[in-house]
Amino acid sequence: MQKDKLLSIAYNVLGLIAAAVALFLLALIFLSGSRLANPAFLFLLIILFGAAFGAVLIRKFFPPSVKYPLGPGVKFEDSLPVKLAKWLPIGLCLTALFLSVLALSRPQKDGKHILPPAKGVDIMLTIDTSGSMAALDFKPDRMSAAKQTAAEFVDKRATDRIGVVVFAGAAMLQCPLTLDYFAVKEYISLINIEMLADQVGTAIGDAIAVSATHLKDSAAKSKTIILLTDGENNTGMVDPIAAAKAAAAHGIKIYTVSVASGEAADMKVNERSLFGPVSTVTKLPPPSPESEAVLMQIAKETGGDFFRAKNNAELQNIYARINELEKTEFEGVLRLNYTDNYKPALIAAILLLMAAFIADKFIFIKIP
Amino acid sequence: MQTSDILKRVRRIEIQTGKLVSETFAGEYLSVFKGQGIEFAEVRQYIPGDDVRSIDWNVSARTGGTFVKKFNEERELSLIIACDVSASQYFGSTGKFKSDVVAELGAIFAFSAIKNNDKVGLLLFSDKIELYIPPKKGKRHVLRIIRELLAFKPKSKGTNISLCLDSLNRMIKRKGILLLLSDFLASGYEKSFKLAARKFDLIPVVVRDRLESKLPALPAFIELEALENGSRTMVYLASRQAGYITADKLYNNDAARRLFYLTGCQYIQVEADGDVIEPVVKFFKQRAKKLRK
Repeated sequence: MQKDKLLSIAYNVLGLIAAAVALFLLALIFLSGSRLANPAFLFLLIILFGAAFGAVLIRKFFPPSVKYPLGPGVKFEDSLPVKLAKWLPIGLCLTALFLSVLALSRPQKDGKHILPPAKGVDIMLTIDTSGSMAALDFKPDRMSAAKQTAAEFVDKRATDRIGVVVFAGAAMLQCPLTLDYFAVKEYISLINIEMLADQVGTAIGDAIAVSATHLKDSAAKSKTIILLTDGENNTGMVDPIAAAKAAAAHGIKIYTVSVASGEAADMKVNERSLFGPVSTVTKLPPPSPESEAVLMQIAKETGGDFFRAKNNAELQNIYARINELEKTEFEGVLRLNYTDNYKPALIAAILLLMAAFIADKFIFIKIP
Repeated sequence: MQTSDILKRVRRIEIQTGKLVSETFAGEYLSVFKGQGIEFAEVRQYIPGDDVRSIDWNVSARTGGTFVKKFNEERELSLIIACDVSASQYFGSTGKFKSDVVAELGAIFAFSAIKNNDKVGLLLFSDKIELYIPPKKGKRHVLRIIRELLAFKPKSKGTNISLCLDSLNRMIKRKGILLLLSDFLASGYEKSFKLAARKFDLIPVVVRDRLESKLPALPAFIELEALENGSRTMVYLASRQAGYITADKLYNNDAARRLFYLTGCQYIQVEADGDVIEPVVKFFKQRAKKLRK
């Protein structure tokens, strides 16, 4: 009799330990690839285990009972519903507590690796939005190709501050220098030809001046303007060469990119007519060699380079090369951006607690 | 229980049963429990109408007159109240334990006995003899018996009816009335019961609770703890299993009744939640009818 009781206690203890180990394994799977922000809370598990042990022992050997003149030796083997009634609510409760301790220890998933700022280069993407950018010699047109390539370029950079300047007859800061590439790409996508429609022309000098203004006070070790245009300087208050010289004085490098197929290009022009807007296709002459000479000189003055893009592929190559040229060597600590991952555990804990309550109060009603 | 409480209850029972005894049971007790022997009282002159067979010829010849023998019924009975104080008595589903009902019944009978100048003794038993008070007369004695009935703390939990009956068979030499108050949730007492029934005017009083014959079929689980040995079991009340664990089924209540019938003992069945007096009155009436036959 005594031996039987000891054996049954031993079985219970073993079962409890097995359940605990199973739960720990589940937790390990859940936590794999994560770290715990407050691992100290896991010490609560010791208390929890003790409490579980006590609760199970009490439930097993000193349950609340109704005294009744039962005959001697009346002992039924517990049927499955009885077993469930005895152990399901308590089991659910303990599992819920375990999961809430897990949630309390704040499991976190590794996030994106972000490198420390101020190590990189400042790059101003200066993009021509004059009417000629609507020419169709690029696919789908020069403007879209330029935008797309610029966005791809932004994706390739990691630690550089990037800004955007747009220009036509005048120049305007579209996006200040920032590490927020998402915002930069958003601003690039917003560029269109109409945005400076009332400023007709191509003011390369002004564009360089505005870009340089926003770059000159930067503390970055290298400052770069990538000037993308398709025409010649025909308006503006500042002479391009003079602007380039001023930029060079501030240590700013200018890469100039000419986007033009070199032949006469079709161009859609939207016009207002008597019968509403009408789009007509006109021929656009190729840029004059003089204009390219100006771009070349700008590059030379500032220690940059001049590139000529005749189609989409070449434009992409050019940006790739600039990307290579402006490679920044970064070293230093990785910063990990953790995201909290306690929610699954907490939600499961709450659901289990509710299930335990329902099981205890509505399904397996116990007397007393 | 506080001593003052017990005294209060003793007093209440005394008043209640005293009234009951003098009103309800007054005649019945006397007529139902006849004296067991006849003893010679005196010889007196023959009066016409006396039974001729009762004329004492020896005395008549010696004195020359006609004398008849006068016999008195031996009235001095002893009533033994044997009470089960096993743990199963401390159960009740309606605010009254079976042990309370037993105490009340014991008090009624004790007062009835004392009213008729009979001796009353008490025996409390579980699976051993817990207390024995030999039969005596007197009101103080009866009050003591009632106090013991109310306040006795048994040391043991089990039930052993045969031990109780065997002890009484050995201890009590004279024939008497034996009132056996128990729930008869026991087994193996048949032989002793038969012996005791032959020796005593044995009246089994079966005190039961409603929940002992049927558990309510609720959609709930109940953890039952056996009163007498502490073993536990959990059953679903709406299941068939619940029907097998009632006290009636476990102790084969029908077998007890058959035994009473076989030994010719009239028994009193009292439900703990019902009226205590009514079954006793019914018993007296039935018994009186039987004796008249």
